[in-house]
Amino acid sequence: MNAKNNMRAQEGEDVLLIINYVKNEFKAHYEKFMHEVFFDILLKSDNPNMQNQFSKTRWLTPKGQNKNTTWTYAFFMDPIVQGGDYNILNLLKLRYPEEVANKLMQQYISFMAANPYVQVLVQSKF
Amino acid sequence: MKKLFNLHLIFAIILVNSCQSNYNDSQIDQASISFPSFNNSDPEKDAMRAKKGDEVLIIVNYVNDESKAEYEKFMKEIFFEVLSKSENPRTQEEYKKTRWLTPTEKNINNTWTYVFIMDPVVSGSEYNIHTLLKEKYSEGEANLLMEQYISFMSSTPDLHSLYQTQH
Repeated sequence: MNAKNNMRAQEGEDVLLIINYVKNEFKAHYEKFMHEVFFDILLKSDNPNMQNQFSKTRWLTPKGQNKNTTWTYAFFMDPIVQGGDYNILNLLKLRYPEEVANKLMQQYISFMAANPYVQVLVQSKF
Repeated sequence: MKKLFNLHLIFAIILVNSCQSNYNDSQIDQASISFPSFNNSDPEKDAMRAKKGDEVLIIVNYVNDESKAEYEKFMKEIFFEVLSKSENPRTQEEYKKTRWLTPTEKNINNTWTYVFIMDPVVSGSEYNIHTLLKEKYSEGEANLLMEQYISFMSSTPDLHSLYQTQH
């Protein structure tokens, strides 16, 4: 068991919840992108800030399909890294030239059925 | 399935309920007098989170602006008091694995977002607030408290059933 498995926000820390709705026809593409591009960059980054962000970023996958045929995925920054950069395009630019990163970003956006639901919250004592 | 049925039942109640609470602040104050205040954190609860493959339930609640203080008081002095003091082993496990997140700011529509995360879900649990209240209160009292809880909400909650990945 690595340290990431035990990471979670403590009382008073900010957390960031991002709910993404993925189109049914892009479910497999999205998951492939997440595993082979997004998390591969995050996991292998030599940047200490990125390593810190990775250790505190949780990714949750859907239990079932939504009634409107979309699939719900969630990011949970547990906790938020203060001063962290959660911009996906900036992450992609760590590995790819700007033009390639822009195309990958467009691809990522094309997977989405709607704008993400984003909420900053505070971990209570409970 | 049973859990989902119970959740849907609660939300159905929310949809049709237009009753105002019969409990007021002073009655909540009286109810809370009998409970010792929260002091000690629970290291096991503080460290709890889902592992790879565990089911996670996210419940997003939207609270009316005018009910914010009452809702928080209810959660701390009634809901979590019952949940944390229960002698039922399943309820004790639910308490350890239930996280409650509070808002950093008001929403544009004047509501406040609070989130429950069952991190992870306790297998076989109903997560029925009315059933929880009945562990401490009579059926009639639990009904009134449930009506009060529902009156705090500006809309039905959003539910997301998910799995924790390796990441």
